[in-house]
Amino acid sequence: MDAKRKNVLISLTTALIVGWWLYGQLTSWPTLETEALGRLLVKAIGVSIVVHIVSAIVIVIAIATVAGIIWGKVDKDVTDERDVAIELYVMRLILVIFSIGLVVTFGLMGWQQLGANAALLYIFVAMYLANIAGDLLKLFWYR
Amino acid sequence: MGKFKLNIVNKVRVLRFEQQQMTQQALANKVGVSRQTIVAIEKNRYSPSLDLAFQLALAFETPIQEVFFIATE
Repeated sequence: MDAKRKNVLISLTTALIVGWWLYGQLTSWPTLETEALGRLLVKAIGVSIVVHIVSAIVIVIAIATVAGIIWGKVDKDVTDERDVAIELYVMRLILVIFSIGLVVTFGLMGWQQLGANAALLYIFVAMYLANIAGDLLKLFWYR
Repeated sequence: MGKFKLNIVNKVRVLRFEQQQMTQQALANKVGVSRQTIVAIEKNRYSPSLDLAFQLALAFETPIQEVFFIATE
């Protein structure tokens, strides 16, 4: 397995673990104050950094061990024109999903009197979903 | 002039085997891309840039039209 697929795997693992953790924390989000929710989201960013580092270490060691046993070598990490093209497609998809999330959130704020804390959460979820969709698209291209 | 998509195919895999069964990794190293890019090109899942197409042709020491061409059907 090459470094690009490894990075996607690390990113997806981090997103899923942090998403699961955040979902557990948000059971009482409608009653949360905006300030408390903001603190929670900042905490989520901190948690995601820690989870990213830990999952990177675990996955890199696990894959290096498995690849060493099965193939006897690990692919070299080379970034070429195809990676740049894939990165552009992924960035475009992330931008589209996040923009849709942002517009929907602002629309709901205007028409449905959506609260500030819910809007903050919707924007965070849009960012989260955009990131996961981007990772899945990368996996599709690197299949 | 009408816009239409060209069905560009290649003989990279065949040429690799004609060159003492060159591995995908060896070819990738020769032209400076990843092995996955060579796999994608061989499976016609990725059309390389003109620059890379010429580098592949140079690696096989053949004219570019021997490596990449338009499928007739």
